[in-house]
Amino acid sequence: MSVRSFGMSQPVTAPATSAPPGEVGFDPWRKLGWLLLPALAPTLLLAAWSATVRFELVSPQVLVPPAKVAATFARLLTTGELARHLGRSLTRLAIGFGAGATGGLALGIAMSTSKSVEALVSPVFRLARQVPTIALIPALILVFGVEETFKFVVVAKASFFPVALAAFEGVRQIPRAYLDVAAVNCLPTRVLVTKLLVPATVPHVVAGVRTSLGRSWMILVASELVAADSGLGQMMEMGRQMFRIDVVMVGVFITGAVGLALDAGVRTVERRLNQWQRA
Amino acid sequence: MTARGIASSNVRRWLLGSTIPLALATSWMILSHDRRTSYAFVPLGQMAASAVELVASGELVGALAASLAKTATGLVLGVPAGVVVGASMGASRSLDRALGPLLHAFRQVPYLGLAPLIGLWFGVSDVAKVLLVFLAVFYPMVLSAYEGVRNVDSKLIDVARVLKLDASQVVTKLVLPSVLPHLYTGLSQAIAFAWIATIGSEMLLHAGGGVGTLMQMGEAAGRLDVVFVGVLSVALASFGLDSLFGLVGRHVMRWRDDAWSRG
Repeated sequence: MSVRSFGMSQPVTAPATSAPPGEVGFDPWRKLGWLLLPALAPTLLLAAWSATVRFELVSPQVLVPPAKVAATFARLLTTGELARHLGRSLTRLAIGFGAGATGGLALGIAMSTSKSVEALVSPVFRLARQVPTIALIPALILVFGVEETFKFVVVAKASFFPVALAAFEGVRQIPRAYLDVAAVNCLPTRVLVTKLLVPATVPHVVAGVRTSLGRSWMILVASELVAADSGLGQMMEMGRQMFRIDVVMVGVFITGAVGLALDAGVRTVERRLNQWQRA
Repeated sequence: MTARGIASSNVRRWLLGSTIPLALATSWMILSHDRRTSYAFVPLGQMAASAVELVASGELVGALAASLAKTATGLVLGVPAGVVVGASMGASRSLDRALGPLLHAFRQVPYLGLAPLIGLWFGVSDVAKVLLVFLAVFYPMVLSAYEGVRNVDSKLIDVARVLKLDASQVVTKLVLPSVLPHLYTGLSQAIAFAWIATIGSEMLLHAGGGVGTLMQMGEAAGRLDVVFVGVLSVALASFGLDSLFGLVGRHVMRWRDDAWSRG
């Protein structure tokens, strides 16, 4: 599924959405309303949240005022606690994802270029792909313990398959004729790789990387929730056990922000690649 | 290629394909005989015995049924909600502008990352777990319904207006054919996510029945055989859900194949 983003964030739809639909002539009030429309839902949400706390509709153990969450955020930020947890999580993500994506890329290319490798790997590959990574967490904890190794393995597993599949598809979709033409013209391997294989596969791989980064991030947070001595997931889990809803909410917020940043980062690379391809 | 050539290449494929599973099984057996690693690598015979025991006692079936019930509840609630929200946003620019940014921001929070928050609000009850499944289903459905409605050809809508087609005709002749393929993709994703969210929520908020809880308890007891039977049944169920959806989906979407084959 092509996941086009909502609303105003996509440049393609920007011209269409920057003006109210069916606008005739210039109506400053309508225009102002249209400009402020995206702020409506967050404002209402914040108001409802504040009102719930203000009128004590729920116990303070369940919901604290937005200001308290902001204060906790500031405190975690200044004490460096947040940076420590975030740093640990991102390091785990980098190591696990680096290993998984590199392995996936190598296997995907090997599978698409060699029939023997494909025959060798594909039964296990197809079977292992069906196992949701989350279901492997208890088994991996038993085998590797609750230390770092199991988290690396979980993240690597989550990132391996999307990248491997993307690389496989990327090479596979190169029209046979192109390869034949290259062979007929005795194209040097270097030129074949730089002019055909890489440009044809990279967009697929980048799309695969986007999927796999998102999944890896979720699975890492989940495994930190299950067992960890540090990291964003562990921070939230401790918050939950100590009924610190403010800490949990800061954790959720940061988890979302990291997810957003990772996604936006890969999207930027994708856009650059598109421009470069068209050029 | 001659018939014999094809046959021999099939044999070769088959032989190559069984290499890795055989190698894995062999190394497993070696590890299970070694005292230093046998804590984790349970002998294969014992694994099979545990599997038989879990099935015979009805424990595994009960756990699977409990998990699948949560998945189904989450889907039944999440799919219509997601479709309504996504389709409305696709149809109305103002609604899209009002809700889009907020929804898009919320979507970025990995649904399992919400487990501690939902756990605080709803405890470790089934409500909390179904809510996580609901969220896992909701966003892909919103996205796919939105995409589908957005992709309705506006020229055709103009034509329909000129021809004075009534609303029901516009929906059945123009909107649904554009939306259904998107929903199909979205639903296949949503079903996979729903199952993952079920297992994940059972593992993170472990109480009550379910395969996730079964595995979590197996882990706590150091019973790798139980855990592996769990993993196997999770994978089989995931495969089963996927195949079932493929069968039903292809049947429902057969009009599209007709359209394609007619060119």
